[in-house]
Amino acid sequence: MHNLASDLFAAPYADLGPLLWIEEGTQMGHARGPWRSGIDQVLVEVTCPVVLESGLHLFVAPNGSGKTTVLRTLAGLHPALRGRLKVAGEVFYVSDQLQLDMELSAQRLFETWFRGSALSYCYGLVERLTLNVDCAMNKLSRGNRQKVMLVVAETLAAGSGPSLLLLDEPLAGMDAETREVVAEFWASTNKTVLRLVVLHELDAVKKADSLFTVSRGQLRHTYRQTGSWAETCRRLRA
Amino acid sequence: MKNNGEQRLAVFWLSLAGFYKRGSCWLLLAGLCVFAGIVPLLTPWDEQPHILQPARAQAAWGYVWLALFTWLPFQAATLGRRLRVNGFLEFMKARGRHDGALYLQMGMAVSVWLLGLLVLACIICALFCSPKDPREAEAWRALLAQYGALVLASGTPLCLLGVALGTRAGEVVAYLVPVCLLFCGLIGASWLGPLLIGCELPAYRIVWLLLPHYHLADLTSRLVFKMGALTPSAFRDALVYLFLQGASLTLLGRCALRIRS
Repeated sequence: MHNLASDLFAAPYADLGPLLWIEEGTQMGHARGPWRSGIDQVLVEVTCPVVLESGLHLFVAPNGSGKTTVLRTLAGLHPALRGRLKVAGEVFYVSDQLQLDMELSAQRLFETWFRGSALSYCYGLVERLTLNVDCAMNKLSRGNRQKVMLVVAETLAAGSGPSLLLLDEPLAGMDAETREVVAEFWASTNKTVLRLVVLHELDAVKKADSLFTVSRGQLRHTYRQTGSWAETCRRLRA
Repeated sequence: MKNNGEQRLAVFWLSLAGFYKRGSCWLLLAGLCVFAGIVPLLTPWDEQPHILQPARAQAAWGYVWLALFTWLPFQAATLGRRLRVNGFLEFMKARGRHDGALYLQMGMAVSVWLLGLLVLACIICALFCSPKDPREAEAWRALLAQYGALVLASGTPLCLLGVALGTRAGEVVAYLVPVCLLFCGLIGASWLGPLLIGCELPAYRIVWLLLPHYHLADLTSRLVFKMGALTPSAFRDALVYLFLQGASLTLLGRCALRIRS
């Protein structure tokens, strides 16, 4: 596997787009005790090697099965307990708790953060998602705050070349119409961005490249869709 | 879109935008002008008009020190806490931003208000309190520059420490630690100095050495009594000492910094 990873991440392949590689046997979870000296709590084990390219990859699993731990490990915020993983591209980890300054309005936030073409791109997304940018963030609903975070992450990713977007429940709180708009947007911009999206409801997402789930502590992955993605998930977990 | 349109130093600018929006920063700056304008009028200046200008200078610099005890460390503590708890630091860290760069940007977003206060205090002293004699006025301006540099060297690391502790502990601890250090170094050291230096006991001398020496940055009495600027060597020594002390506090803060939410 080491050779495969070396080949994948060696130039010029790395220029093609974002890549994610997780070695077989990699374990993710929590290290315990001072200086990680205690017994590790393994939440997820990778039983087959994973290689992902740009596109939309769904991650569906029950609460507490380790989805967020996997995302945090991929984001480099948590070391893997065992094994290795590699990422080619800039990583954007949008956790479900991520918030920006709640006193600022979305407009002020965007204009402070972005310039020029990035700002135009950002406002294009705002229009597409029908987001009210005048309100202070603490006056926005949960769904609208999620939209702000999504707009920020997507704008940054669009301006950063190959990028890996790790989105933890980005559609939570959004209405069905907006979910479909977001799913269409993801489908239309999946050439240079690798999106790994944690979801609980798969109804809005029709087009996706692969699906992950966690079953009995093992990470399972398939590119093959049999029926809907929800049915595929059920079969994969069985 | 390949040209990333992201603002450089995004953490700094976003933190600054948060301060603008809250508005207390503008009150802080306006407060300095009001304080330096009104407080000197409480003195018997109508009987002794010559005390009005030194009193104004004293009020302006007293306000700067007051801000270092109140607004600045409080804002540093809340900023650090807010950005860590909201997951914003984590977001930037995942993008490959260095912890140290995030730390400095947060610290600078607070320190910039200290700089604003210093500039305003210098302007007030230079415009409204400057002696008429050209030679004295020149010494006055030099002293103002020295005072500003020393306070900046003292205050910036305290802001950085407040931010770092804000990410690690609660706001109360993150506020109190820099304030206690400043109190010990500015007021405590001035009081205890004669006692500790004059004593033969080594323990007292060690305590004196370990105390932060922010009193070195307090040149208010030199301004008020028009004692002129510090000699270059005295200024250099004080600046180097405060810089090294500040560097150690900044490193301590860097160790305390916590990114993960």
